[in-house]
Amino acid sequence: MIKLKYMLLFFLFVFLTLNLNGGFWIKALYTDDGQLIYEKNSGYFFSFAWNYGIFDITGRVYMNGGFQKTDSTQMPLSKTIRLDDETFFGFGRRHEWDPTENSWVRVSLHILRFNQDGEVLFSKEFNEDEDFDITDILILDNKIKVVGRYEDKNNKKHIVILTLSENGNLEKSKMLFCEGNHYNLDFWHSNCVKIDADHYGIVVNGNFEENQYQWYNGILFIKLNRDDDITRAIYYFDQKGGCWYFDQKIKKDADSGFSILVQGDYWDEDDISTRWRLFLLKLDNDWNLKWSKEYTLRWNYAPVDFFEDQNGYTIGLRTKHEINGEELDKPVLLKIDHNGKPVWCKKYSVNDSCTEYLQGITGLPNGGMVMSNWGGIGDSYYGGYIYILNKDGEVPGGYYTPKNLTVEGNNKKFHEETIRNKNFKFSDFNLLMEDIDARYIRYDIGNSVRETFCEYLNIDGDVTIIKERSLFGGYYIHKINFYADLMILPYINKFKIYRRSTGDYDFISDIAKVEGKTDYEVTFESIFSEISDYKIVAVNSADEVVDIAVLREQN
Amino acid sequence: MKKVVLFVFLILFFLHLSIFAWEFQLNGNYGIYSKDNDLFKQLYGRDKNIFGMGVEMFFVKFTGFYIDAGYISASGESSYYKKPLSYSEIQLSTGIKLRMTLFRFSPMNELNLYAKGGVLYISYSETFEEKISGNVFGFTAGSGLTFWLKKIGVGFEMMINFARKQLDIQGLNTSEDIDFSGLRIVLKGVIRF
Repeated sequence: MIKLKYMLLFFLFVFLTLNLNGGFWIKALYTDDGQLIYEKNSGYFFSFAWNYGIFDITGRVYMNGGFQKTDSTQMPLSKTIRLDDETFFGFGRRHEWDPTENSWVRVSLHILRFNQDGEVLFSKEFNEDEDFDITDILILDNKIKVVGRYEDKNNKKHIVILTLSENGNLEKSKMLFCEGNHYNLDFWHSNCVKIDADHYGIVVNGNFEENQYQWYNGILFIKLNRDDDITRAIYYFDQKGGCWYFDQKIKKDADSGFSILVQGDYWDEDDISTRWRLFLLKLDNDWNLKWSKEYTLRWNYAPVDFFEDQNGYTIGLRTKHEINGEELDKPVLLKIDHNGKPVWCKKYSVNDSCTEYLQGITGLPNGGMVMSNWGGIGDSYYGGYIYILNKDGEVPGGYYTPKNLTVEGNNKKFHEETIRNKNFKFSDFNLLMEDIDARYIRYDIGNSVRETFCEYLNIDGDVTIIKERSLFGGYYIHKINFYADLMILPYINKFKIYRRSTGDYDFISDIAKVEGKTDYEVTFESIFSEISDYKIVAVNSADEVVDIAVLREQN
Repeated sequence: MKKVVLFVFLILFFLHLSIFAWEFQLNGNYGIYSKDNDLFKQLYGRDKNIFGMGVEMFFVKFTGFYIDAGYISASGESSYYKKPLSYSEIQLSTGIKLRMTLFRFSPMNELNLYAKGGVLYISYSETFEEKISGNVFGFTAGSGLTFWLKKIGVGFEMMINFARKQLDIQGLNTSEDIDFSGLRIVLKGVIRF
């Protein structure tokens, strides 16, 4: 038995040495003009890289890593993806230590391409606008889709989509945002996922305002083709309200569907604190909701990462525990079968004095998993380390620190705790779905990032509802006055008028553009005294949408 | 038995007073009609012309029955597009009329004051792109003065109509309580037989 244990440790050592040490490929970071920013410095770099996440130790998918130049400059990679057998793309935010503020300050954004030897082939830098941030990247049709966020001077939030060639040239940019006050989406936490060879999806969270006093929080899914045209948009929301969704991760499942881990929170009046909520949504390949579950644990927790394998879903949670009068973070894994039913839930801890922040979790080909953490005791030491777990969430080998990549852990230095069922519960979480007219979300077109951030093309107006009456009869006149400013007029061929009372928009009529005329008035008869929206869609001669305005009756 | 005797004596007493006055009257009138309905005023204007005719029958000197007929028509414009509107109303009423002599200048020349009231029937129609018609029942009451020169009388009359009806407004998804009430002031010419 002892021999078996040492054999296992030996194989793990060899395995990690070969795959982690040898496979850790990032060596240096160069600027666009070839200036060396960082050259690999083993110990420090490893420590830093470990801190920032998890990677598949088989070398297939590299997720998080890091670059560091000096003690005052760092750039953790938020995500890396494989472009082909030899090169990878990643993005990160370069920070510098500001001694006056005593904090790290973001100084630039980088999209990197590097090879397996860690050579940075190019680094595309975005440092002109602090309100622009990259949130996710993917590869589609040998193009790099970079999804980001941008908040304009009016605090309106947008999704920015950049299309880069393999050489990092910016080929196209688009900006998505939602009309009026109807949807107030927080595009800060947008994720993207490849759907098929021609389509990809973006997931964002936010709230949908039914009226001034009622809104529903939910998740918006936008399906786009390779040209960034929206082919479908679905909004899932919880009509009960009370919960804010502010982060989510979407992943493609083995069955061609998708699963989304959603983090939400609500204000607990009894506890006078924010309580996390955890949802798992299962969608089919057409993004229709198959099921959705909410999981509640005894402790306060935040979902961090998840993956799906043949055994179901494994969700990594960062949980807070009060231990000896001190609140410490500990990782918890929740295993769920493919129907959303919990199988097991385990808490992990090196010891009771150590704060452990879960960084990520991913599956291994053998059915096991690797979980990365970052933590320490007090302010004295913080570092990264990983657990290697089997498929049942057990830790046969202990935990590993990056410093020497040897097996430090043993069963005396950590413990796992199987959490009793009474500590967590789960329930079906009923979400409503609303199909959104894709054109409800509009976009701007630009040739560069800077041009994308130009002022919006402008159409606006108002709706007046007038009653036409005789003594015993009559009808309502919906009078729409709208204008299109002179900047946009040259690009417009006609205006399409849509109307909806409930549900989808119905096309009503076309209004031809009159050369040089900026103000338009159009009236429609109706038996209804109220409407939800009128939508003015300005199109060019190719019937492409140039601008959209949604108008409502002014009270 | 005593009651029967008393009743017969009472009848003979009334006959002795010569209060029976069999009389038949025909009249024609013309004047203005002001409807209370604000929307009507907005669409058609405040006062509309009305003309009519009527008959009255008196079996006793101070009390009789009457039947009146009146007709008003109006043209107007719709509220926003100012499309042409036309409205007409036929008013039929019947009831009791009480009269008394205020002054008697000679045996055949006198000034009468009267009050009358009864039930009202209004048949209405409006044309706004298409014709909408219907009817409504109500009440009417009023009074007037008549100056008699032998068989011919002239005078004026003021009547108030009360009528309302809940109607579905054609073309709109609503119903409204329509007020058909109004004030009628007319000059009358009367001939009695």
